[in-house]
Amino acid sequence: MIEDRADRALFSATGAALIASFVLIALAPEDKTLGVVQKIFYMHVPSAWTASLAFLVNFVGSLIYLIKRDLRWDRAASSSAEIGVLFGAVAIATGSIWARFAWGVWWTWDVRLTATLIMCLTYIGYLLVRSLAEGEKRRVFSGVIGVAAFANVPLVFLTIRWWRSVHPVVVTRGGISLDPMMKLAFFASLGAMTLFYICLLRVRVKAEELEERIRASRGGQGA
Amino acid sequence: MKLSVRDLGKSFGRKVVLRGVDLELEKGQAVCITGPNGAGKSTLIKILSTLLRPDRGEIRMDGENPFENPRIFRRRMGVVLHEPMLYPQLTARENLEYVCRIYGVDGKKAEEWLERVGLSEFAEERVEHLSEGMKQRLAIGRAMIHSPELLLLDEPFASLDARGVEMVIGLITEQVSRGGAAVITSHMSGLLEGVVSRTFQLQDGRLV
Amino acid sequence: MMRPIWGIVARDVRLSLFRSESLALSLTFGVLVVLVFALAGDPTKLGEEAKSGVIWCGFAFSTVVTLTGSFRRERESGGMELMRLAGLSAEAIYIGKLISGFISSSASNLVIGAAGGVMLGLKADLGGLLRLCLIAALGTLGICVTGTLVAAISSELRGGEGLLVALLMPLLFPVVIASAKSFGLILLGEGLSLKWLGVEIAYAAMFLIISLLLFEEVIE
Repeated sequence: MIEDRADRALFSATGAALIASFVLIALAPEDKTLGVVQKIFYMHVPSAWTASLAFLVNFVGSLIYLIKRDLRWDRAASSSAEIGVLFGAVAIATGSIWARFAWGVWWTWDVRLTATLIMCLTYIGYLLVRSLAEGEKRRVFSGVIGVAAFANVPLVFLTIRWWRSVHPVVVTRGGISLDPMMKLAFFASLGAMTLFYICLLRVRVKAEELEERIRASRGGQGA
Repeated sequence: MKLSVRDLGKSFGRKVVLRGVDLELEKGQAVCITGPNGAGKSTLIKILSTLLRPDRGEIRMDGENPFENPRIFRRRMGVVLHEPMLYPQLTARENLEYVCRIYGVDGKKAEEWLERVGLSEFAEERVEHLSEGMKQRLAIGRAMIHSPELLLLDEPFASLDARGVEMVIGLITEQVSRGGAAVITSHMSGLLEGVVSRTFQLQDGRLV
Repeated sequence: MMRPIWGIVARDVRLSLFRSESLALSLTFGVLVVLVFALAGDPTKLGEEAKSGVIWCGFAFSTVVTLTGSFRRERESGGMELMRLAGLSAEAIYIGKLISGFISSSASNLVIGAAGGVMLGLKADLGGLLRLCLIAALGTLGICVTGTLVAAISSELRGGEGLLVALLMPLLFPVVIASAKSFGLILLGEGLSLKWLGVEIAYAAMFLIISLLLFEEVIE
């Protein structure tokens, strides 16, 4: 899979970034109240961010595919959706663990957490369509869902935020005042995770390409 | 409507169904396409109706590519497929009235065509209670009610009794004499002798 | 364009309300949903907002059943092919299905709302009732706007109602939340909330445009 120079550079950079961010996370001071558990924050927020990025890429890919019918965009869209759901699940899981240690509850109806959950469910629907349909139908149907799903995002955030403001909830996330080392660790983690996403996307798209070639040579309609 | 088909090809997965079909049809002409089951007759009809896209080849209707603006061409065709395209829970009359509405044709034609296909007596029967033969008659009525220029009939004689067959032959003859065209697939090509100008066999994905 | 759309609406409404079990199915489903939620807890202890939520669950699931049935009928009778062969534009077909879906869903939601209201002991004066109807109509419209597009997709795939629920529900959160919240506020005597009303209108408008643009892709 690691074919050309660009890929090699990408993977090396990602590896380096990941290592660097682990180091920085380890070195970052522990939060006074939460202790070492607070460090899960370095995984939680970047995962949520990366998931959103992945869903944005899916939206763009779906839209361009519907307009141009260029298979590369469809591959990018579907791969990105898979990775997005993965990162989203990580975000939800880490958010849940953090909530448990920080506030004693497994779930807070925090805006971002709830919205991420809804988005994950939406894109699981997208992936369901992809597994149930074949050929051009599959690409068009999932493309339509991809566009509708992302268009929904602003209203989801808005309604959840307003919904929450009516329900004073046990916990508020609040801004975490980060000291410089924490900030550094955070941004390093964010950068590393974004690079990681790009790597995963690259790998997944290539795998999808190979799968299509295999299907085409077998004469299957799934190509 | 003048129809011109060149080198039409269609595959489903590995299975090559049509392999270079050529056909020319002028106004006032009808052709019959016969062949064994699974030869691709239905596929050909579906492609001609623009409901299905071919993998390769060219279709021209009055010199234009119908797939570029399918909606305009579809209205000029009357199509009978294996599926009757009737709503089982509506009556025969309601089905035809509905078709009149969506084709933008005078609703009175529903009554006229119920008569012509011999279903006046069963006008208020729900389609689900009609026999296969009656459904087929109704489907044919449905296909012709908007006076199409081109008739595409896939096995129109299926389930029909002698009177039904006679009726369909009469309708096709009328279509041709009106200056319309017709492509009919049927096992029973003998019935159409004298009505169609040519009969083809669909063999190995080609018309011979 | 109007006559064919009217043709679709008339045909569809006749089928769903008078000729099939569709209405009975969606009605029963909706009432059962409300009942299950109510009985799983203590209906007398629920606040007005919770009761609104329960009713809107009933509305949402019932509308899904209605839409599934509508598109299944098209699929089974070749109705979609027929509409395409008649040269109808995708937009016309969408609008026709949207209107008929809205009428059918509204009919069953009316009954579900009434039954649910009685079971849960909801109280509203005439003004409140009218406002509730407005919100119910807008919310149902929003659900149908998105639902018509998504049902056209799910009806082509194995999975039936389950698939439509899985695909559609996440997309419906904004309109269901807004509608339920509005209901709650009206029942609490606080009148019509403009901000939630705004969300409902924005949602319906946005997805209407998206659906009109994308429906052609789905049916061809």
